[in-house]
Amino acid sequence: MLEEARSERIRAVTANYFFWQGLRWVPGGLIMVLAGLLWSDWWPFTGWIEDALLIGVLLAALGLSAGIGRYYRRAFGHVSPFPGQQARRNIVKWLVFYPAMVASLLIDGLTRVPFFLSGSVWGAAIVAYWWSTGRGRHHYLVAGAVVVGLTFVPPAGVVATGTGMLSLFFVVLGVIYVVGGVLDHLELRHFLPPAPSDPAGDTGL
Amino acid sequence: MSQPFEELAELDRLIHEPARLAILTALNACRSADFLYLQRLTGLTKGNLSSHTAKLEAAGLVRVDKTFERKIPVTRLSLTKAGRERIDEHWRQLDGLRRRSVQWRLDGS
Repeated sequence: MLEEARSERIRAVTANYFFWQGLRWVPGGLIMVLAGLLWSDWWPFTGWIEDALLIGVLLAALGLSAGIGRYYRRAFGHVSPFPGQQARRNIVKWLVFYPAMVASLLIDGLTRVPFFLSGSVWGAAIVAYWWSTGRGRHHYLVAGAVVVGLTFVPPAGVVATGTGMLSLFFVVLGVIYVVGGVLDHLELRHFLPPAPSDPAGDTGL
Repeated sequence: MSQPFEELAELDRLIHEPARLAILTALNACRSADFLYLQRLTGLTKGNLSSHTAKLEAAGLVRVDKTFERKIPVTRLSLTKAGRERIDEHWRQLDGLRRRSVQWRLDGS
């Protein structure tokens, strides 16, 4: 008999296949790290070098992202989700989480609250992301806890609120995207191991 | 009331075979999936997967669409309406069976 846990995992991964293709998040993570470094005090580049670096990284990330999509389709296959399958998730995302995330960044950037509000809000968003995309991947619970932990960095006196804290935040977030994406990918590979015959191309049936 | 092992014998064998149950469970969670995805999911060779999907197609549970994408043949599988109803019913049966077998064990101990 197909074990219940295995069948649940089949449903979860198939229904949320796009979100389990973790390498897709790596370019975005690299951009976040770069954004965080840009805000830091010791960022060494200015003028055209900075502009060229930014444009170069953005273009590389876009190209990489498209290539990663093709890689997953070729190596792991393609799943078409039900139309509107993510509708409830999208409503909650756009009406609750995104506004809260933007608002928390504005509050942290423009006011002098004694703690880093974005840590708690974005940490909760990471856990909600994990919950709404098929669970599994427990590294997102760790990531959520790490980001929530950033809330208490300013009161602990490590980094002051304001630009310095935002810089640290984006670097941490970017690293989470990169590491989380790689771990997603490894979990997907574990769940969908290479097929016994050559998986490249589709000549079945 | 029948005992759980009797109900187990009544399960639809076409659906209950592990690879076919995995295929149907996956297809029930999406609009369609391609052959490669199902091959990686089940760990079957192309020939074995073809054989299972042919049985499901012959039973009217699965629809198989063959197309070309950039000159590469792509085989997409999806559940028919009957297939969706049958796999839903099968999982309901299994859940009921699981509950009753727990109860049966408790009653017997």
